[in-house]
Amino acid sequence: VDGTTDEPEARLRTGLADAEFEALYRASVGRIYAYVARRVGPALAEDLTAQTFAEAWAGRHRYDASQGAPIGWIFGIATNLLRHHRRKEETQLRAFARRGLDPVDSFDETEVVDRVMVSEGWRRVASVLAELSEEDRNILTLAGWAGLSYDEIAAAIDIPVGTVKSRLSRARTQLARRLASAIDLT
Amino acid sequence: VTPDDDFESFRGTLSHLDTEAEQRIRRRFEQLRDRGSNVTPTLNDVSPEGTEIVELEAVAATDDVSPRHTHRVLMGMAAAAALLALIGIVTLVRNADDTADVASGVDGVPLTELANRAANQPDLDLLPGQYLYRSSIEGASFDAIDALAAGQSVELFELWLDREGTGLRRINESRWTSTSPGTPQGAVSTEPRDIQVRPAQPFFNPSLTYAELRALPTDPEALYAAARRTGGDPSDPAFEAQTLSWWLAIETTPPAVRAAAFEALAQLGAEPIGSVTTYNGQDGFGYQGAGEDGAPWIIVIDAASTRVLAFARGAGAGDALWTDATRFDEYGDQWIVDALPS
Repeated sequence: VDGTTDEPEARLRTGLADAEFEALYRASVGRIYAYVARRVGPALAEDLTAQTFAEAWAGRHRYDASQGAPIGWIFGIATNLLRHHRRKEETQLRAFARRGLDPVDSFDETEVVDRVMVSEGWRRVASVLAELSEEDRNILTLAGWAGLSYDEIAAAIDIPVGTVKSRLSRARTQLARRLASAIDLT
Repeated sequence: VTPDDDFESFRGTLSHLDTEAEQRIRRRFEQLRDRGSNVTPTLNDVSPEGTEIVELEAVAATDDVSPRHTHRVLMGMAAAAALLALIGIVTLVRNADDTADVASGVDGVPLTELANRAANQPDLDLLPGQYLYRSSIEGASFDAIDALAAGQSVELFELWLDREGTGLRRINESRWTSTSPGTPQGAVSTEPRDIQVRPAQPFFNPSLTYAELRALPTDPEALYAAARRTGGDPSDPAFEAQTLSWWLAIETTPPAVRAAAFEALAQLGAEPIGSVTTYNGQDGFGYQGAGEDGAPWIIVIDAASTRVLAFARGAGAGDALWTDATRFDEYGDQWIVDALPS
């Protein structure tokens, strides 16, 4: 199990062996950290990443391979933990939309941040994210920042693939509209 | 600029995990793994047998929120203007010429009296195989001060859920109307569609399962603390009030919990503002309070049944650059049925 493959034999089983869990950890810890840090900032990201894997460890015997590759499962746990910090996330997004204060950039100067994107365009993205419902924000960030496929997102947040597609399309439309409006006025 | 270009730009600014941070995460993970339990149990982690944990946590958190009880009745001129705007959103996009019917001089029923009434109402509990049905409307209006984007959205839902969180979510209408000079004018609507809701979904709101809902504290302060904990940080009375309104708006919330919720709203400083007509034309009494930054919120109640008709919250005076925050939830019919719609 490398965290991203969808091997036929894996789909027939329930639970993750210890070695499989370790492989999943190594394959995905960086991605989970990046996703969580982008959403709530580095100050919380390390602890939330550790909590994500602790929860996964505790529930590794209940992992159901028929629901998809383990990468979706692990991102689902992370997304669930993020729910407890949604206000912090929304507050940060709004602050950034207003003042251009990027929580990632400002909290850890050593992070590699694309300076071009820490700009007006990214402020628009932040404002769109803050407006989205929690579920839409989860879908958009799982696609955009976690890089999950439709199937993986569906497994992560336990909704049908069709719903993922329609809601992602809607969220992307909102994103495009907001960015286009910024461009039109400049 | 294509949508794909936009989405590509969205992928920027991701952090990278350096070796030291990775080692710290590993150590923390191993601590938690070896301890064999969650570090931060929340309401979402609590089963019916775990009620005591919820209440203990809620009581422990009470100290954190005691300042709430010295609520701010602040509402200066700017906040009063924001309040009028908020009342207006109760009639949001229904008709541009409509205004909310707020009768001056009507005191309404005190929230403490609503608590008494709620406590004496029958306890509705879902039996296996039954579904709780509810129709609702969610609306929002955003109008950035720099006019880069403005619009309104309204979604009409029906939801059937059983005790396990299984059921059907029907979106009857989803409408987004742009009024921004920088974006295409007009409305965008989607076709009605059904979404099968799978087990283990939260029950009607983003916070709780059905078992957790039934196990909520019946002490107002503990319930308030529970509402505070479901939302995470930072605390804001407007969010807490919204969470209480979610719980009140579910018919199967136990009467003692509903009574505690009304008491908690009273302790938050909610004041009667008289009669209010909702977006969908329901008449009730409005109660208004203020959020952390002075942002007003309003809950609309049918005093006879103690049913929540709507909850709305708006942007505060200190949030003038961000005026999207006018949002409302309205609740319609609600009853218990034995089957999903065909």
